[in-house]
Amino acid sequence: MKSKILLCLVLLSCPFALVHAAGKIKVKVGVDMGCDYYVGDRHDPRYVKQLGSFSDKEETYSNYNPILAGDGVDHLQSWYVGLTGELLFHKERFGVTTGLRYTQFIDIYDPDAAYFYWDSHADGSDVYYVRARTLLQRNHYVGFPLEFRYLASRPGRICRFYFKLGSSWGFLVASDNKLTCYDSSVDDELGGYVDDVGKDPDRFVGSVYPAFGFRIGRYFPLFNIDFHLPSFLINMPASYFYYDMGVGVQLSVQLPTDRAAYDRRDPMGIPYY
Amino acid sequence: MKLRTILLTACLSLFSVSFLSCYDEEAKDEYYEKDPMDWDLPVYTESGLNLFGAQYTVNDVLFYVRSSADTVPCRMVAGDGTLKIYMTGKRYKSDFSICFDLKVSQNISSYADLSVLEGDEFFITSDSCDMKIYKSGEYMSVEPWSGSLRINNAKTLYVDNKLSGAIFSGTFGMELKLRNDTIDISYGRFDFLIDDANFSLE
Repeated sequence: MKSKILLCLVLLSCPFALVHAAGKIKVKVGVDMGCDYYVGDRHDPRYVKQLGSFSDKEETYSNYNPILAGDGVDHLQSWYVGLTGELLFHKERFGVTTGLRYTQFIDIYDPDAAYFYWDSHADGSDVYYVRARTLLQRNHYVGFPLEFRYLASRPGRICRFYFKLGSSWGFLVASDNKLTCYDSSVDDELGGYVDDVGKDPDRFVGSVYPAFGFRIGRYFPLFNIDFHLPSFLINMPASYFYYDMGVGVQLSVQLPTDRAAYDRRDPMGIPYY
Repeated sequence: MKLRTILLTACLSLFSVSFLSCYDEEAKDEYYEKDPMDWDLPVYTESGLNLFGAQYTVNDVLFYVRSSADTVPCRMVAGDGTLKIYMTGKRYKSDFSICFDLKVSQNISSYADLSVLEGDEFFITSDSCDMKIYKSGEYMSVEPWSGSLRINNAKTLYVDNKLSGAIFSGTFGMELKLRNDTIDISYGRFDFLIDDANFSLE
């Protein structure tokens, strides 16, 4: 996995090095971070069990078996941080961004009921369930973004509006699942991190997001804020989350690699091209 | 340029909002998960869902019997070498109950002992199983021709490390005569959670 990541990094940095050496296309490097919020359907995890139950009401029993109570509309969160480089061309009106990005997807299974039953383990003819309050799954992906930007206003303005078609691609590097027990007295023994939730998230995921935003700052440094409306997921970065679409916001800071050129033009108060 | 930019932004936002508003939480008020092979029956499970169901053919006319949401679907009464299993539900809109009186090899003194029955099959034509059907206000003996009750899964359930009940699941099917009616019970399945609420000793 490490060698794959290294190879990706080398490949990604090649175009930047080449165009920078040529000196004809502007290059900006920076950091970006953001978060997305997806809405979709969640299914009951495989080890969540339903049990029949009775309540004694007015001397008659009522069987209120909660079939599939956990299914329903829910949400998935993600956040990411990365190092990026942007190639700007055609008088800095068009840009292509890529780099290295770490993304974490957070899925919390928290049904409306006070607790759910989690099939903990079996031992011969005995089965052990845990009453659990939440199951938190965090999946860690490392990959790269690939974004195309069109800046609607010319360089040199303090605030530039832009449209963007972005995407992010990632490989699963780690996953952890934490079960919180309903009865806190057994949380240490039966809760905590569980290895197996019955289904793994997809090892490769992508997201595509049309966006609009603003580039603030005239020359150095530049701050970007853009809004993903909407953001679509390709493959599932959570074990039991499906049919997703969401919204997000991204912040980035960029530094031009040829700062001297910017500094030289800045006192003139005019676009440098 | 400015007008075009504003219009494009507005369209993009409208597109996003309309997509997100498509999600609507569906009401999930089904009492049981349907068997994809026969939607009038609950799917066979081994989870302790307190469900049962079967096709119930009387003189070649098909009915369905199954547990209902407002009735305790199973009661067990254990005695000296015996175990009575009452399954109670509905046949169409009328009450229905069936009783299996099993002769078991080991004494059952609590629901925790039910696990010894896992894998056992009781043939209704043998001495180990007697069967009665509730009709006209009483449990009536039947004239069995063939069939059996099989206990596929009997597990002792611990919740939060405390003894909590037993999961008792299996299948049944039989042909019999009740008074002048020929009855064929087929595709029978049950999945019960047995605990203090529905287990008693004779």
